[in-house]
Amino acid sequence: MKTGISPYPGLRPFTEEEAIFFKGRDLHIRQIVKMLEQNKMAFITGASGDGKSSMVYAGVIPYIRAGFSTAEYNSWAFCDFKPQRNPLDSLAKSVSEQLQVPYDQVIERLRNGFSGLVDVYKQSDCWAKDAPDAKNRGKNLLVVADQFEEVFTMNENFHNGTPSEETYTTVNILLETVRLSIIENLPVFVIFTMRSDYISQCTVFRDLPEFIAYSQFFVPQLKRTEILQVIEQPALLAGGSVSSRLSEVLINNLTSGFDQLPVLQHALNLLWKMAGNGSEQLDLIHLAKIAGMSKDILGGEERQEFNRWYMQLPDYQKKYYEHPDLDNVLNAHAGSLYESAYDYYMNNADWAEKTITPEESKLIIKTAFTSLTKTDNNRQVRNRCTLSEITGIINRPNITSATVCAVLNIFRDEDNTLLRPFANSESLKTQYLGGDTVLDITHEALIRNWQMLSEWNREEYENIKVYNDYNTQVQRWADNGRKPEFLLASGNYALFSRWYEQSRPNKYWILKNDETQRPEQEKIRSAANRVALCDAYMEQSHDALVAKEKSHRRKWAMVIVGLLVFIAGLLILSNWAIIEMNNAEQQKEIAEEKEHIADSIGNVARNQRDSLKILFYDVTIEKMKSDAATQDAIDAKLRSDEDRRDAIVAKDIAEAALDSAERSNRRAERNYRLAEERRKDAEEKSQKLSKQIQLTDSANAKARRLYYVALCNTLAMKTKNQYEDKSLNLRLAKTACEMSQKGGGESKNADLYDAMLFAMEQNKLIVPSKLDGGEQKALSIDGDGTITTYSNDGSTYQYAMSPDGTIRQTGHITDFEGKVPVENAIFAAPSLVVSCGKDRKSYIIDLHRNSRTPLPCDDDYVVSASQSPDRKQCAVAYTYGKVVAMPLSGSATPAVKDFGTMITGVCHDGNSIYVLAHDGRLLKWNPDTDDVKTVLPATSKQRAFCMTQIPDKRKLAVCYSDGGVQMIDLNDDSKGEWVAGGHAKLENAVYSPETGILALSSADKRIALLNTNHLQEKTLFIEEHSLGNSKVKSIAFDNNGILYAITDDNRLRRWETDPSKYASALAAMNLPPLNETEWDLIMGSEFEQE
Amino acid sequence: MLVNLYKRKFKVFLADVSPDMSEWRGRLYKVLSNAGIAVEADLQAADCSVHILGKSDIYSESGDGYNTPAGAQFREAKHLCGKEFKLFVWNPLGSLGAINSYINDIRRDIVENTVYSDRTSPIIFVEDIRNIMNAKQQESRRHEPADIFFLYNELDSDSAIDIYNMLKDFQSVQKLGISISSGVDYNTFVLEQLADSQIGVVYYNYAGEWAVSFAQQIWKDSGGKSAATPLVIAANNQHADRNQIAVLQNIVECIVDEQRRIPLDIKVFLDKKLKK
Repeated sequence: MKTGISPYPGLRPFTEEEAIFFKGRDLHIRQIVKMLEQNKMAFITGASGDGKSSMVYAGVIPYIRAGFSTAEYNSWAFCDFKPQRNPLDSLAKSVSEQLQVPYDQVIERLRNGFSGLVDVYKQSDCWAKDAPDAKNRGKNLLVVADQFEEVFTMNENFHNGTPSEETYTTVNILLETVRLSIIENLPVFVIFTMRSDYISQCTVFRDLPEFIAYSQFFVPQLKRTEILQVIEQPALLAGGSVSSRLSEVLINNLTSGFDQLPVLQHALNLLWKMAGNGSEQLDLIHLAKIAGMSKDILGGEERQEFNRWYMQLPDYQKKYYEHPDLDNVLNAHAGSLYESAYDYYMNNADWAEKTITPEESKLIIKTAFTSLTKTDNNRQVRNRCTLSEITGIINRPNITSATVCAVLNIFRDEDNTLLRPFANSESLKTQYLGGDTVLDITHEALIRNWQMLSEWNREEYENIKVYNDYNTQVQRWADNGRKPEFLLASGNYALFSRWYEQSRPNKYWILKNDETQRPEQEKIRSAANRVALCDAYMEQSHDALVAKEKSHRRKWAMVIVGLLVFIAGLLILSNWAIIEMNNAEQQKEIAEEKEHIADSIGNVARNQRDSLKILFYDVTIEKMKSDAATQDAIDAKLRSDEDRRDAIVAKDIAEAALDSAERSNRRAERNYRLAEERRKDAEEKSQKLSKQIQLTDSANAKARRLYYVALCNTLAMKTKNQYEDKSLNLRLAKTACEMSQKGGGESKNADLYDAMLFAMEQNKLIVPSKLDGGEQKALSIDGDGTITTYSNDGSTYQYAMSPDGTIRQTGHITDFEGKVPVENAIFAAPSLVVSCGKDRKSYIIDLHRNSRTPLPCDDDYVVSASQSPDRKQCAVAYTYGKVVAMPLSGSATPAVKDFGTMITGVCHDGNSIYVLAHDGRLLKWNPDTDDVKTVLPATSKQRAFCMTQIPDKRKLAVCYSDGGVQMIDLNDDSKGEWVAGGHAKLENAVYSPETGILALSSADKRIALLNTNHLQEKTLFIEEHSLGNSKVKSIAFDNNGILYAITDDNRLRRWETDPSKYASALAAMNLPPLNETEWDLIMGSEFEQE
Repeated sequence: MLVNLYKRKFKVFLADVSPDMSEWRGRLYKVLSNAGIAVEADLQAADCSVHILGKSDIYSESGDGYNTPAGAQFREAKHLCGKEFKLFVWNPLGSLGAINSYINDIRRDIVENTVYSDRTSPIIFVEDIRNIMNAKQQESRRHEPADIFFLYNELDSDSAIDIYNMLKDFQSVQKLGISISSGVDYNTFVLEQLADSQIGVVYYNYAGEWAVSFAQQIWKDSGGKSAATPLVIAANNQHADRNQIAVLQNIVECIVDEQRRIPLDIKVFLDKKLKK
C-alpha cells in the first residue's frame, strides 16, 4: 500500500480520485442525490470557495458510481463540462467523448437545441431500452455543467446583458433534457454548479428561473462539527492524525465569509507536508512554520525548535512571518514562490533557454498573474489566457512563450497548484506546454489573499483607466481627420507620454481588455490598428509640440534682431529729427489753420448723421407693427384649426352614441331570447327535481349502509388495540360483524377479517402448533387432510388435525439424506418431494412408495418443482438455469435444458413446461421437441419470484417483486388480468380449487388471499401479527379451503379463508354487547351507539 | 433533512468567573436560556461546562485565583471531560483583550472533547455549543456477526455466488449483491455489517468501474486506514484493469488472481487478520 498521499488537495478542488478524502458534506451529498432521483436535476449554488465543484466531483459522482443511488441501469456515463469560451462546443466535446458518438454528429444535433442531447443519448449505445439484458448494457447519463457562471463572466458568452447564441442554445438544451427526462422517465440527470452572486442574471434565460426554483440546492455553510470533520477525518483516513488543539486553533482563526474553505484546505495541505507528509501528528508548531499562527502560543521547547528553524530561512521569506495568521498562509506561500521562481527556473525546465534576469522573471510573473485576472462588476475574477497571449503582453524580444512557461512552472508544480494546468515535477522538467495552452488561476481565493497580486491588480486597474482616457483622445483625433488641433497639449502629453513609456501597451494587452463581441481575428486586427493609431497619435503629438516650440523660438529671435535694428535706426533718426523739428514748427502753424477748416466740415456731417438716425427709428417701429399683425393672423389660424378639430370630435361622439343605441337595442333582443330559454330550462329542471327526490331516497338508504360500513371499519380498527381485558377484542369484533351485516353484509372486508383474526389470536382461539424435528422446509396436505412436512435433516413428518385445532404426529419417515443437510425441498405433489442437499445433489422422493430417485443435475440448488397433470413426469428447476423433465415411471431418459439465466419457478402443464426466469421472462419449453417459446418478455423494473397454476380456469399466476400478479391464459398463452397481491416481493403462491382462493405470501410477512372467481373483489390479508412476526416458508390448502403455513419459527398455523366462518363463530359466542360507557370511551362521541 | 432542529436536550454548567467577566457570564446565561438550553447548577449533573476566560488568570496553578471556586470548577470539569462530557472554554475578549500567557497555556493543553472559542458574539458561541452537543452519535444496529462480509455487483453475481458458495463451507460469510436499480440504501447497511465482520471483501469480475468507486466510498466511510475492519479487493485477473487496480492499491490490499484461486486468497487474508 502506498504511503504519503496528501489527503488535502490544497487550493484546487478535490478530484474524483481524491473522493476518498472528501469529508464534511456527507449529508449534503445524500440530499443532492435524492434531489436528482426525484427531480432529475440539481442546481447547486453557493458562495465562491464553498466547495461546489468538490462536492460534485468528490461527493456526488463517486456516491452515484458506487451504486448508492437508484437508476434504471447498472452503469453510468458522466458528461461534465465548463462553459469556457463556447459552452455549446464544450458540451458537445464532452458528450461525444463519453457517449462515443462522433463530434460532428453531436454538434449538428445540439445546434438545433431542445431535444438534441436526448436524441444523441438515445442514438448511443448507452440507451438500451427494451434490449435483452438492458440493465447491464445500458448506461444512465449524468450531465454536469460545472462553473456555470462562466456563461456570464466570459465576454464571448455574455455581452451587454445578452447571451451569445451558443450560450442560449446550451441552456435551452440542458433545460429541455431535464423536461424530457421527467416526462419520459429517462435515466438522464443534469447538475449545474454556479456561484450564487450570478443568480439574478439567470433571468435572461427563458424558463431557467423556474427550473432553479424547482430544484435548487444552496450549499450550506459548514457547522463547527463539520469543519472539524474537514480538518481531522482526511488525516485519519490517510493513517495520520491532527491534534485537538490544532483543530481548535484552525477553527477559531477561520474568518467567516468568502474563502473560508479554500484558505483552510490550502493551510491543511501545507501542514500535511510540514508534518513530513503525515508521518508526524499535525500540530501547532507546523501551523507556526507555515506562518499561520504566532509562535507565542507555542510552549518552551517547541518555541526553541521554531526559532532554530526560522533562523535558517532566507531573508525574503522571513518578512511573511511578521503577521502570522491563517489568512496569511496563502499570501506567504505565493510570495515565497514569487521570490524563488527564478532559481526554480534555472534549476529545472531543461528545455528552456536561460537568457533572462531575475528582474525579468519577476516581470513575467507579474504580467502573467495580472493578465489572468480581470475586473467584472467591481469583482476581481479569473481570466483564462494562453501562454502566447501572456508572452505577447510582456512584449520583450528575449522572452518567448517557452521562457514564460518555464518561469511559471513553480506555480504549476503539483506541490503548489496555484496555476492550472498542474503537473508533477518530472514532467515540468521535461515538457513545454506549447503557446496555445490556456493558463488559469486555480482559485479566486488566491486573487483575494495574495497581497502582492492585489497591489498589481490595483496598478493594472489604474493603467486601464489611463489607457481609456488616452484612447478617448486618440479616437477624437481620428474622428476629426487627424487635425493638429486635436493632438495632445503639452500638459497632457507630459502625463500620457510618461505612462506610455512605462506601460508600453501592445496589441495583446489591448486585446485582453477588449470586451466587444467580435471574431477573434477581427479583434486582433483591431488591437493592432489601435496600437498603430496610439503610437501615431503620441508621435504626432510629440512632433507638433516640437514644431510649436521651434516656431516659438524663431519668433523670439526675430523680436531681438528687430529690437537691435530699431535702436540703431533710432540713433540715425534722432539727428534727422532735430533737423526736421525746425521744419515742423513751420508746418505746425499751417496745420492749425487747416484744423479750423476741418472742424467746420465735421459739424455739418454730424447734423446729417442725426437726421438719418431718426429716419431709421421710424422704419424699425413700422417693421415691429407689421410683425405683430403677422403673429395675430397666425394665432387666428391656429384657433380656427382647433375649432375644426372640436367639430370632428363632436361628430365622432355623435356617431359613437348612435352605435351604442343600436347595440343596446340588439342586447335587449338577445336578453329577451335568453329569458325565454331560461323559462324553458326552469321547466325542465322542475321535472328533473322530482326525479332527484326519488333518487335522494335511495341515496339515503345507501348513506345509511355506508354509515354502518364506516362503523364496522372503525370498530375493526379498534379491535386491533391491545386491551387489558382481551374479551373486549372479541366483543368489538362481534359488534363490527353486526354493523357489517347492517351495512349490507359485505363479506370481503379486509379490516374486519384482520380484526377477527386479531381478536381470536388474543383470546387463544387461534393458536399455532409447534412442529417436531429440525427446521421444516416444505409443507403439503393430501386429500384426506394429512399434513406432511419435510425437514432440513431429510425427514418427513405426518400430522393429523384434531377437532380442537391442535395437531398430533401420526408418522415419521426415515431420513433419506444421511448426514448431508437439506438446502431446499419442494412438494411437487402431496406425496412427491424434490429435495436438494447442501452438496447440491437432488432427488425425487415418492412418499407412498418410500423410494428415492437421484436427479441428473448435481451442481446446483433446486428452486422449484411441479408434477404433470397426468402424474407421469415431474419438472424440476435449478437456480442457475437448468430445468429437468424427469419421468416418474418407465425407462425414459430425463430431458435437461439449460436456460442460461436465473430461474425462480417451474410449472408442468402436460406437454409443455412453463419456466419463470428471475428477470421476469416466462418461457414455454416442450421437452419432446426442445422448442422454447417466450410467453412474457423480461421486465425492466420487477423481478419474478414464483408462480402457480390455476388448473380449473386454465390459468397461470406469475408473481413479481412489487407484489403484482400477472395472469396467463394457458389456452393461448395470452396475457390476462394484472392484479395486486401486496406491495412486496411475492415468495410463495398456492391455489385452492375448492374455494378459488389464491394465497400469496410476501417478503413483508403477509399473506394475500385473492379470489380468482371475482378478481375485482377486495383482497384479504393475513397480517404480520397472525404470522407471529415470522417469515412464511411454505403454504398449502386443504380440501376445505383452509390455509396452512409453516413459518421460520418452526410453527404450523392455519386460517379459514372465508371470513363468514369466523363471523359465525363470533355470533355463536355468548358475549355481552358494549355498554354506553365502553362505546363512548372506545368509539368517541361522534358515533352513536346502535 | 438539511435543517437541524436540535432536538437533543442537554444541561450546561456555567462556571464561576473572575469579577471582570461577570457581565459576560450574565449575558451568556440569557443567551443560553433563549436558546432553550438548561443551565445546571451542579457540575456533576451537567452534560457540558462553560468556562469564561478574562484578564486575570484563575486557572493555572501560578494564577491569582487558583483556589477560587472558578479555578476549582475548571479543574473538576477537566477530570470529567470525555465522550459523555464536553468542556467549552470561551475567551470572548479574544484578541481585543490583553493576550495573557495563561490563555496560550490553555490553548496548548486542549485535548479531545475540549472546545476553545474566541468568538466575541455569545450568540455564535451558543450556536457552536448547540451544534456540538447535537452532533449525531453513530448509532449502529447489530447485524449477524461474520468472518467475511462479501460484496459484489449484481453484474457479477454468477461468479460471485460461486466464490461465496466455496467460502461459506469453511467460514461464516455474509454476502450482499449490489443492484443500482434496486433503490436500497446499501451504504448504511454495508457500514454496519462491515463493523460486525472480521474482513470486508469487494469482489468483481466485469464490474471494475463500479468496484473502484464502491471500494473507495466504503473505505472512506468506514474510517480508511484507521478502520477496524480491513477491506480487500478481489478481482478476476482475466478482466481486472491495471489502472483501476493501481488506483485501488493506493488505499487497500488487492487480490488479482485466477477465479478459482480467489476463495483461497481471501481465506489467507482472513487468517492474516485473525493472526494479528
